[in-house]
Amino acid sequence: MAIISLIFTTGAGFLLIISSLLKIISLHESAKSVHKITFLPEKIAILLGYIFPFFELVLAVFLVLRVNDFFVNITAIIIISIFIIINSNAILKHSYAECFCFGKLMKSRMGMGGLIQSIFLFLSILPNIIYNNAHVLSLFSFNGFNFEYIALITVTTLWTLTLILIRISVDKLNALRT
Amino acid sequence: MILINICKILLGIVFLKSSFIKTKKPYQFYKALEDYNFFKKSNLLLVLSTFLIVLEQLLCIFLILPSNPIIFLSLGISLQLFYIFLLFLNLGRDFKNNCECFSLNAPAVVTGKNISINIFLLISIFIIYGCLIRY
Repeated sequence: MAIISLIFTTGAGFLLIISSLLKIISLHESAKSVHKITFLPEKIAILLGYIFPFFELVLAVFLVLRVNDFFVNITAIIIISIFIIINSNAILKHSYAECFCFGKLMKSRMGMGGLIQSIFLFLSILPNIIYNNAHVLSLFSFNGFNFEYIALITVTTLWTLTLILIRISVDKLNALRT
Repeated sequence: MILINICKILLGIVFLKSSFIKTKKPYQFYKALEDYNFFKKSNLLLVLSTFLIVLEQLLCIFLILPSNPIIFLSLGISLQLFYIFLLFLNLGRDFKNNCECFSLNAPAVVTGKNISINIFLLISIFIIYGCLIRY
């Protein structure tokens, strides 16, 4: 259980790191897009848009390092459930606005892709809350650079790539349909 | 630990209020569920609506009184997932037979806000369970 939890949590953490770094690179655009995708007033939304990528980066680093595991996981679950709610709302209102979730590098829209990705992220982190894991492992808990460690890093990276690919492919399918 | 218990009881009170209204108006709840077009057979729906009310009352009892956390977790997940699924199926629809008295789980007009509240309640159950098994 400790290894499975490590793979899924670190995979989700890597995805959040990539997402937040790409947002920071195109901070101005991503801050502006927050107003379009949330129900918040313009000034608060833009301020949140500037702060959120940095907060996401800190959270993602804590997820990868497994620092203060339970509280970090609770914060991550709350943020991911907000993603789920915002994406569901976009699907309901048929407003598939550009969200700059991965900055300018990977163009992404609100909608089904975001919803599926957020649900997978949610399911990756949920076991950490439900199970009281006595041995919280991180990628830095291993001493030797052996086969197990390489396999672990490969699987974790694959999970991150899968989460990104799901988003891209569903977004492209939706764009083709419309 | 005290804070967790207070949150648990508060959550229990939210469900208690909702189940109390359903207990007072079981027929209206049955009619509201009938409009949601989930079950076609009326006999089955009658049993289901009664069962849902009883489950919600049990959930309140397990949340308010000290009990095994796994019971309220499983009850809460099953109930909330069912309601979220039901609301998603009927999103944006307007119901005429609805008495507008079950704003939490069976509202007259299903909006994103109703689903968000139900998702929030589900997350709260997860977090309270997680806190209880650790502290």
